[in-house]
Amino acid sequence: MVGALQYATITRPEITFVVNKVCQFMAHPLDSHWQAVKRSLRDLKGTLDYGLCFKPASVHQPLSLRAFCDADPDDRRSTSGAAIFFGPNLISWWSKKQPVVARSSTDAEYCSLAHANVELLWVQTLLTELSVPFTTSIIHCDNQSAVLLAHNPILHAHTKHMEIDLFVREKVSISLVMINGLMHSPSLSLVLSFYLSDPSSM
Amino acid sequence: MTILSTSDGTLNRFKARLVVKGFHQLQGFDFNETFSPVIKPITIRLILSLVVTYHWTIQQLDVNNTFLNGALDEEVYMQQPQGFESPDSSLVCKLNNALYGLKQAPRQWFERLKATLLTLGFTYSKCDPSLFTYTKNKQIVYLLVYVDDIIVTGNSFDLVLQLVQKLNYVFSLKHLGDLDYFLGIEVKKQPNGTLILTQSKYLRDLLSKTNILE
Repeated sequence: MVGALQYATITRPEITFVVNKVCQFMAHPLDSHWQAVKRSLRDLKGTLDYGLCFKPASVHQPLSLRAFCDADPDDRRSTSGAAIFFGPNLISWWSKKQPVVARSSTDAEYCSLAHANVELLWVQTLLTELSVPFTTSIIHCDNQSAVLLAHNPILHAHTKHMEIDLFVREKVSISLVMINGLMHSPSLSLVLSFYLSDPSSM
Repeated sequence: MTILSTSDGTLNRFKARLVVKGFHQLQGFDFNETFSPVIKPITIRLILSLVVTYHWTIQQLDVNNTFLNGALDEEVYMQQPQGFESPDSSLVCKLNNALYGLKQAPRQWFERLKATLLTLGFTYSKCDPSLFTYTKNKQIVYLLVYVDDIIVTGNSFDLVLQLVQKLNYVFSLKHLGDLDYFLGIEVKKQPNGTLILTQSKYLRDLLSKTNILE
């Protein structure tokens, strides 16, 4: 059942988070998880004809590559969520439990940033291979300290353990990606990493 | 044997297929590698956004009896098929070609397709081995493979048709025309050039299976 829902996420990014969440409990499913599945199905019932839309972009300028990433703690390990846009079109997104325990929200966000970075670089390589022009990719991240950390190696007592993941900084320093803070608008990736309904219903 | 019916439910034709009992195969003896790459959804979406941006044509192909096209690297024998036994029951059949049910059938099919595309002048992508590209004087054709479902797109309609025809000489193909249904995803083209991807049919089937639609 959940596997069947997983296939539906191909054109329905908005259910990615809940499907991923339920998947984590497949070994010991409880009634509350079943309720969540039924809720998603009822939600889909009302929105059967919704899907992904691909709009034409301007052909006169190189296409932009933007990523939005976020991380939210729910238990010890946070969930990262991200969405990648190519021009006006959403091409990739995920909601994923982080493999490590984060010691701070900056740590969690930085981890999510690293993940988004990896995916973006893959898209960049593919586009280069197809010789499609694109602008420098921008990753939008709503955590200011994670953004600062990616630009500036402040060896801080709290970030010592994260220094292994120098990958992001290296790519920023050679201008392969740009990382921007998102201060005012609610991040799109929030949808992928956060409960849309009451968390106690899970 | 399956009974194929048309979309309005009337009987269309019967279909039967010889299938090998692949579950008796032993690794290292009857087969070695079974992995076969499939196209990544992100590659499909990336190509689709290029398609809508540059107003390219997008065609869909289907290969008939896909897995029968694969060649076998290993020596594989099977029991005589029921109803077609020879009087000497000690005989077994040696397979010259891949058959449905063999563990290596998808891989052998992909290898065969890849070899054919490479001789036609395609190159495969290093990022996604199921994406093939063909370039000739600024004309470009992309070919995406998901087992037997193939999408062809490119900036020159003539070149796309030409390559489809060349491929048709080697394999028996069904040219399904403009892309409208791929891997359970419906692709609808809007008058303003946008493409909308939905899974209405898949979701409707899923909901009726779970009795939520009533």
